[in-house]
Amino acid sequence: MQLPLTGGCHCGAVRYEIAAAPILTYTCHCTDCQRITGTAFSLAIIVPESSFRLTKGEPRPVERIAGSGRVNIRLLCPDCGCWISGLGRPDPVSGQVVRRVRAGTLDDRSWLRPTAHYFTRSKQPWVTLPLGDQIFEAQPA
Amino acid sequence: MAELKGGCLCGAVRYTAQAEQTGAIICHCTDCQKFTGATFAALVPVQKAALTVTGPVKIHSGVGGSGKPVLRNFCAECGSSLFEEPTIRQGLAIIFAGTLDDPKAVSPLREIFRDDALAWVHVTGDIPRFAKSAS
Repeated sequence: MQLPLTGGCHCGAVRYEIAAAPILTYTCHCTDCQRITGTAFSLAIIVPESSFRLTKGEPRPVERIAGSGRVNIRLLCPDCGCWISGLGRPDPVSGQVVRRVRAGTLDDRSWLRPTAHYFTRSKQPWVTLPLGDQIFEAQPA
Repeated sequence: MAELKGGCLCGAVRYTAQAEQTGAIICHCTDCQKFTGATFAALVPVQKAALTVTGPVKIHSGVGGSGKPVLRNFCAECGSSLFEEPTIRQGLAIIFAGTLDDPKAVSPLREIFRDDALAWVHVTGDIPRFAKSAS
């Protein structure tokens, strides 16, 4: 992994840079993630909010009430619809303000290796998770 | 023939398709990684004439693993990846299986562009796996 991490949407209208190493890489198998990505799970990195910087374009915020009742804001490319990230918000455990970035939008994805897997209760049966990883039926508290 | 129903995350777009088969092609190409923002796409091909779509769909043209343009159809409201149309195979619409109301109705048929797959991604099952495209 080489810092800063760079990435962007599919069409290139939105670009970003991340100056710090991710705190965590995880997959999410919730049905909302399945719908929006159109695939079996989403892949995200959690990064300190202060390390994230948009370098091109203006993503469109889309609000949705999550299963937890909390309002989620997703930032999408206005041109190609790609989901880039959420907004920065405090981590419930550490209090640190973090942002979850969709890892498939990174330019270099070769180093990505999730260690935690969320909402595995709705995981597709044909996805095999790496042995020894942290598995959560839903979301960690 | 199987009837497949689905739609986007916000519900603005809905579709119904008559599918000849319900296997999903797992495509690991870098274009699918980028468009889904994840690690692969799970794709169910249907005849475009057998697909009925309602609601606001936007199209973005990208270059697929084949090197040829692929029209990526997504919800104009919530951005969900809905289906794609490869220009090398006119008349075909390929549904992103995660948008099905019952994604468990489909299971993997084969893996393609395995050369681009992230090392830890394992798809279960005794299915053909291709380094590039299947043809």
